[in-house]
Amino acid sequence: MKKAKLFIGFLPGILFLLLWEYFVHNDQRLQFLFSSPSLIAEVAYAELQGTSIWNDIFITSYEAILGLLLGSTIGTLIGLLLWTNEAVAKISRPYIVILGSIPIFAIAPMLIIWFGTGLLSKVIMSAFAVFFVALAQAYEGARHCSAEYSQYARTLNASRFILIKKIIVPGALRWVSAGFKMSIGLAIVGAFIGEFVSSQAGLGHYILGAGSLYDMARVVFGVVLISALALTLTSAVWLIERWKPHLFAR
Amino acid sequence: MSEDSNIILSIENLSKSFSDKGGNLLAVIDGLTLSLSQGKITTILGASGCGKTTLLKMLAGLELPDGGSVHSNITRPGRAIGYLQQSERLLPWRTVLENVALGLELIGEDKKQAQIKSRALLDEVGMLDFSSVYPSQLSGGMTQRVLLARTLITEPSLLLLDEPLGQLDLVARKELARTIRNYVHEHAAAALLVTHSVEEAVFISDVVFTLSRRPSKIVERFNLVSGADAKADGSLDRQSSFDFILQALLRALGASGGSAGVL
Repeated sequence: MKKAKLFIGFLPGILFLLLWEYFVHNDQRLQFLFSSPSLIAEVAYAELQGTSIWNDIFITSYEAILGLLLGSTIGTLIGLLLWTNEAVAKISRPYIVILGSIPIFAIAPMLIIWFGTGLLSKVIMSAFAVFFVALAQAYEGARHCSAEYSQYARTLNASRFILIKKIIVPGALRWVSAGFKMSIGLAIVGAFIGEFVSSQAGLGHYILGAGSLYDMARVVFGVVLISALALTLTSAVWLIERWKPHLFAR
Repeated sequence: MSEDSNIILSIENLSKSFSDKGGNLLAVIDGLTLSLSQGKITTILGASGCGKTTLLKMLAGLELPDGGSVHSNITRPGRAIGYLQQSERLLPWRTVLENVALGLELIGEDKKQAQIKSRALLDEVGMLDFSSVYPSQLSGGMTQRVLLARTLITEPSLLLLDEPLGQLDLVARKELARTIRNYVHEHAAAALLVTHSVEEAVFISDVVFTLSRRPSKIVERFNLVSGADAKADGSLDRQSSFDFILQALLRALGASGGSAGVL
């Protein structure tokens, strides 16, 4: 029963690959435009034998994870600080909305000029993408916990510091961790765009290189690796969520 | 000891209004006067929406009254009041034990000491076996037991309880009523309980006040005792007082033009 369900789940994907292969198999023009599953598999086999692609995977993962941690930490801290001062939160709200709506692509050249073409600029782009999610989650989480759980502390005349330490911060962190799955995708996009604009390695660099040579099989393989990376990191968070569900807000 | 010397808290002419959307004042409580004595469980019995919870919030310091005064003889700042709200929730990221210990941690007690005391209290409410469980794994009745333990952990002199037995089955209700009763007697504390359930009021109280409809006023007072102690001083036998108090509540509500449908 479980195997049948698993098979049904994979069926649309398998069907898509078969149809793709069938339609492009005997057409060079279509193969140039769309590549084919068999060509991509050949490329994947060849690439994974070497070390270069593993280095690219490692670099993009490294940038995305560092960006995720940096953006989440700073976003959480600022979100919590804004909660402590409602007046500052009100004044800064439109600025946060404006900054949050800037596409990373638009500021990527600026960040490359400021922070160089190395690791730092990619990490900052990745962090920038994640920052606003963490800030919003921490702020809303703190507001929610204050409304939901702080009355008990108030009846005991608990100090504001203890209230924040024992109730607000742990509660808000649950909200931030609940937003982590969404942030993973954003962190990878941030790192990828950084590599796409200027880099010497990484999956963005790999895809850009393959694209400039019209090597569609390698481009698609790069996209598959980016998706696999996102899936792996999301699964890791999902496993932690299953292991310690109380750490994630629902 | 005279009753006056046992008084922990007295309320005189307390009143509270709220503004509606149009800015009109909505009087909820009007000139409420009562006193709470050591070792006694006092219940305010009234219809839903008559301001019972508002009264508790004012006594807990979460709402300010518009008029009247509250005189307190409690001299233990920080842990004077234990307030169990109707919609109270446990912290979902803390285990049952950590939730109970929270009260002591909030008033600055050492975490280890707080957990030792919490274990003892959890044992008392029959939840020790669940001390390492998270709140999402508890039933409504179990949650209520833990919430009561959390309310009692700071050893408050005044317990404010908002329908504490409402969600419980008969056995659990009996056990929790006994826990509250024991606590009040052993700690020379006072408890003020609000409910719309006559059954709950009769089940646990020493004194029952019936409340009129909004704006709420106290209509009648009943002293409840068990068995042979009854009658001599005009107090009622707990076992047979249900109908009597129910009729009184109906009168209280009827006097203000309401019906007893809320019961």
